[in-house]
Amino acid sequence: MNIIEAKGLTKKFQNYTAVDHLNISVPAGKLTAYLGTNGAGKSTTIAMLIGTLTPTEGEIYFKGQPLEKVPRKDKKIGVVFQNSILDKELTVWQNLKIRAQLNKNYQKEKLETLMKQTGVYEFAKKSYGKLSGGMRRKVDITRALLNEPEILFLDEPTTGIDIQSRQEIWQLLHQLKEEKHLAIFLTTHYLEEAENADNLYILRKGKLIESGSAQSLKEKYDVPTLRLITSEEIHDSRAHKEEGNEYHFICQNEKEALSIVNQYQEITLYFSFLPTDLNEVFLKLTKEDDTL
Amino acid sequence: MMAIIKRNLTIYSKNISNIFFSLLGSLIFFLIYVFFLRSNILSDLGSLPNKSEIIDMWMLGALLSITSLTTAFTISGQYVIDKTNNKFLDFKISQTSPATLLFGYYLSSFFLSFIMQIIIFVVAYGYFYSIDDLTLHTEQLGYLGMTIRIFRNELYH
Repeated sequence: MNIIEAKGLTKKFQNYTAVDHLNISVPAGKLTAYLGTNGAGKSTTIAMLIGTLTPTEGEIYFKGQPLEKVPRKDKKIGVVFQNSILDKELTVWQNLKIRAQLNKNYQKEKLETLMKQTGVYEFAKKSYGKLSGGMRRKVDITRALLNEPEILFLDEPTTGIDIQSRQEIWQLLHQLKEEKHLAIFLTTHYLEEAENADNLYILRKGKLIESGSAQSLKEKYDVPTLRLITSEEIHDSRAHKEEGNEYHFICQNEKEALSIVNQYQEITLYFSFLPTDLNEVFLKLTKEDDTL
Repeated sequence: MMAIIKRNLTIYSKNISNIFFSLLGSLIFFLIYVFFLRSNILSDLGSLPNKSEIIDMWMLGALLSITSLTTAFTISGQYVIDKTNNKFLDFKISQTSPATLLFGYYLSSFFLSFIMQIIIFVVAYGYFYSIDDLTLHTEQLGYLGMTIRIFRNELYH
């Protein structure tokens, strides 16, 4: 079932079209990644999907109902914003308690259980302003989960955070996805993170240019390249000459790459053969579009 | 709503410079009065009986009306901060309606200015009491309230 579904979503700011006829669906218990270059319209889309910005055109459905008609108490949406929105002056506990009290049916035990689950209970008494970036993000995520949402929006949740904390946050997100059957919708700059997504949307200048699972995109844009650096010049019609004696070969599979390496065995100084990663797909897609 | 009131008051009280600057107006007024204006006004009034009591009370009223404004404005500034930091947006997504949220901000500035007026009153009254035995009777508190109202109207217009 789709928690959020958008049809023909468009947002215009005077003459500028920030988001252009998007069709997006976010199914329950799945991770949906939303990629795009800076200024592609990612944050605008999120603002519309959570109902803080009215679209110029198009409809948004929350569990099959038009979003604007969903009563406040049934709109179970959690949002982690790009910048921290908790109060630096207050402790973690104070911050979360205040936010929890803004929702109906505040229960202390429930809040404690949630804090233990996300691992912020240990530093509950610390001032939020004195926490490290990774810890803050965890608190931000906990805050977004206070109203027991069915969908969690994350706007670049791991930007500016060290690798270790990033992994912890990802573990937490996966755990939430599995245990609570939570739909997760996230934007990110780290493409390797998007590899975990069940569904990917790639956006450029407000338009969707590609969608599908990470695997299917990789297969579609698969260009495994063999890099070869030789001690002397070679003449091969398959090779694409780079600087110096560096040659790139487009190979269909490992076997083909091996045969090329074998052929130039004697003069090879260095070689590498890497399968396509999402970065390449992303670059290729956005680059192709720039020539349009 | 109580959560918002409690939050705003806690944030205000945690920030010492906030407290200081919100009371700076009253402090300047108080010091100028004590060191310069008081003796001037006293000499102007000539042989009026109880003149020091009259003007001390008068100034006490003025001081409290300044306090009520400056503190209320400072804590209302929290709303502007919250709006610029997207914090208000986050509150709006919660199950509390925007009207209730705004009422919470309003009430927090009401409570704060009330509390700060009591504190300033105790301090200023203590000072006047120590220099010229200024005593207040129940009916005079009514006059004090009136002076505050008059000054407030003056300040607003």
